[in-house]
Amino acid sequence: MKRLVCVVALAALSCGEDPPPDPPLTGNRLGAATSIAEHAILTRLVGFRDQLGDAELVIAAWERSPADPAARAEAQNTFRILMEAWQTLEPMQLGPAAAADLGIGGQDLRDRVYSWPIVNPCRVDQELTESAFEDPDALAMENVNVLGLDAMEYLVFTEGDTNACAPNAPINLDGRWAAITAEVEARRARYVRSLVTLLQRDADAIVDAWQPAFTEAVRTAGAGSALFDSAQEALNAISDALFYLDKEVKDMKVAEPAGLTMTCATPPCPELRESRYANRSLAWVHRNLIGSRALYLAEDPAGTAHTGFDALLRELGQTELADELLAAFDDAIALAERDYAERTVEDVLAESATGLMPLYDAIKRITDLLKTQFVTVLDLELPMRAEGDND
Amino acid sequence: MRRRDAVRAWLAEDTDARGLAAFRVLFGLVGLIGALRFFAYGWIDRFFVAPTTYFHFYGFEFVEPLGRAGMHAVFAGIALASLLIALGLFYRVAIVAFFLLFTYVELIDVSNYLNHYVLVSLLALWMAFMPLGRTWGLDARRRPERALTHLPRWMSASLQLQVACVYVFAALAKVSGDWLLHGQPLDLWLAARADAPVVAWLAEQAWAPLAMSWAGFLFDLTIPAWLLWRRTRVAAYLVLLTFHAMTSMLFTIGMFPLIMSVAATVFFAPDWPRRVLKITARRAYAAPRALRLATPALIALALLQVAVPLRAHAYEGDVLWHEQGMRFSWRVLCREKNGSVTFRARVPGRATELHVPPSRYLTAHQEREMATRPDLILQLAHRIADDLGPGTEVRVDALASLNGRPPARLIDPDVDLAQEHDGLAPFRWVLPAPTTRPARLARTP
Repeated sequence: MKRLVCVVALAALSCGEDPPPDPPLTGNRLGAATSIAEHAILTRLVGFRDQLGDAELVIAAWERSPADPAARAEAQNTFRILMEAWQTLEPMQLGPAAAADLGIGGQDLRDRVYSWPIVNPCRVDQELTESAFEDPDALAMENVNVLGLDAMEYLVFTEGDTNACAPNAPINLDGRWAAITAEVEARRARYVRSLVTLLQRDADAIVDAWQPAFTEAVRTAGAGSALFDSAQEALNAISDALFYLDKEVKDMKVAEPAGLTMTCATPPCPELRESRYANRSLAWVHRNLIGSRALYLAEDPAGTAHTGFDALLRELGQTELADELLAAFDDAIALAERDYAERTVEDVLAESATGLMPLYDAIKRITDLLKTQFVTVLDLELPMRAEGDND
Repeated sequence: MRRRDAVRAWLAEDTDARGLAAFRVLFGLVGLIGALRFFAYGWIDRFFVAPTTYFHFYGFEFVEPLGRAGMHAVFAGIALASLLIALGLFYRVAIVAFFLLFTYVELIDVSNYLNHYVLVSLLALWMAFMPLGRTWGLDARRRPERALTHLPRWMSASLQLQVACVYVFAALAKVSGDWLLHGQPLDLWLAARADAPVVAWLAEQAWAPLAMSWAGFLFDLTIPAWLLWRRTRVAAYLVLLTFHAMTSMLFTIGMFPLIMSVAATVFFAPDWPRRVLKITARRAYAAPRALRLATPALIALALLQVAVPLRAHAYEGDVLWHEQGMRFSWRVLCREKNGSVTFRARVPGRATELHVPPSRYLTAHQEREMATRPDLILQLAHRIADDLGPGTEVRVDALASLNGRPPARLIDPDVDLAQEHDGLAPFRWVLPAPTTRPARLARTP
């Protein structure tokens, strides 16, 4: 009771000292959600789709001369360009690209483009011994781990007549692999041609699902939207995508090869890196950071920031948090660009077993802020949480 | 001495049993809806089958889920028991079964703790001592000789005490600077729901967060009294319905508004159904003598309802931060808190420290619950230590943000949690709450 009296007295005192209150600003959450969806995500999805048209020409050239090192090098370069674009989109998994059982409006389309960490090069080699890869329609019916950019990486960066399966795997025991070794390079090129055709279809499918249906669902959130009952719900879906940085980037792409996780028996474990054939794991992390920052800022591909989370926080007077988060993003990107993006995981870990720790810590600085003050101030919920009750 | 006798006589007095009979019917229907929601939303699998790790309540470490078929059977049992309670058929068996099954479900995983689940359990426990199936129930039809039209007053009084505890302790939990001076966390919550019906206008008003904080506090503190007073009862109940309808629009609180709206009917006059339905009493069947006096066990149960929530005050510091005494003390929706936890394990024979993300063990729902609750962090630390073998040391980087404050360390990062134990003693390894002001959202001119 004494405590209550004190608080009431303090309230009365504070009323006398404070200036008259201004009307509160609730923040343009709908504007932020719409802006992020349209400027940061949709523009990049369209850009990725358009890049696939150029890729088709390069892969067709490799298909005509599969033994030509220059043609293969061009194919590899094309893969890098495509993957850089996609890795920027990886932290933007919401709506049609997201998993159907996790995201609102999810259609599982992302896994068809890039199924990491469910990769299986041995399964890709099995496909090489069969004929489905020749026909994109038939290949489209296969599991996601023989499709997309992960299969493409393996095929364009693998040379020679060896395969990724164990010696006692059926394709090595029954002679299927031995039967194709003479033409394996040509098969790889033809397989990649089918993959690019499917990537174009899948990119079209994502863009078509986004425009107009998903963007409209975001734009009308809380006002008749087919998917979102409120602007806050749309913003939640976007903030969930930001947490790709926590689980996939920090805890898997960086912590696993760094030897920080139980999956690594004898640290460090460079073999647990994401990009095992192109050896671009750290460049991909760099792109993930750039994509996350773009999502946070509602930044378009030209680098112009629109009304994103940063603007929303500032509008709500949370300038310190916005500054801190932006600095955390910028520092992590600068560190990744300067010390990691052009190096391989093996090189970094060979130089120092703890060589990945600065990158891990830089990303953790972002995710700690996202998981604490950021979600608190904006009152964001995890979707899984929102489906239960609270009190 | 004379006053005690007067109280005993008052508690033993006959009152119309129809009010409690109506409450029984409503309680059963709410229980049935609640159980069916778990089936409809797939929550049985999500909360009781999918997790690989469960957080145990202190002293109830032996409680484990029964597997998919078992858990579905448990919820089917809750639904059936609820229906029987509503019908007043095999009432005693049904209410005891409901209490046991519902409480078992609650005890499986701390991360599913909800205050309104606890209230349902406690109401069921009280009701197990009352012959509520003998009025307006099929039990009374089956055995007319056992039908009752009256029950001793202690039965409705004990339910009133139970429900009043929820409101009054919920009010006391709001006696804090954040709630009463800064209007937090309502400021954050309102801003996030600016496009909700009705709330939209309120969310734009500068005075709204603080005014609503005070209104909520005063409502919780006084509503039992307004409901008890005959002259204000109807108006108070209408206010209560409005209040819970608003909380239902503002928050994802599922059955809570419905449960509280039903629970508040225990404050009505015992004969309210007879008045509303204009039933003429044909014959009175008073409660047998044995039912008239509350036993010492029931008195102890009543005292516990007051003592258990008060235990939070035995701990130093801010209960919203250290969370000791937080559960079972009716601190309903009184803070916005989120955390980030990384477990750092040092395993004998391994050169480098392991960083164990909680997602390796927990569902997203469990991880979010655990991240701000030191006792759950401790439990997972022990689980990790057990998994990694003898001699493993587990420390944590645990940061939390309370009501929008900058993140602060929740737990001493130098303490090996594998060596610490759960219990009622204060957790010395929990760091003090931040003393900065909570967030305050900006205002436009």
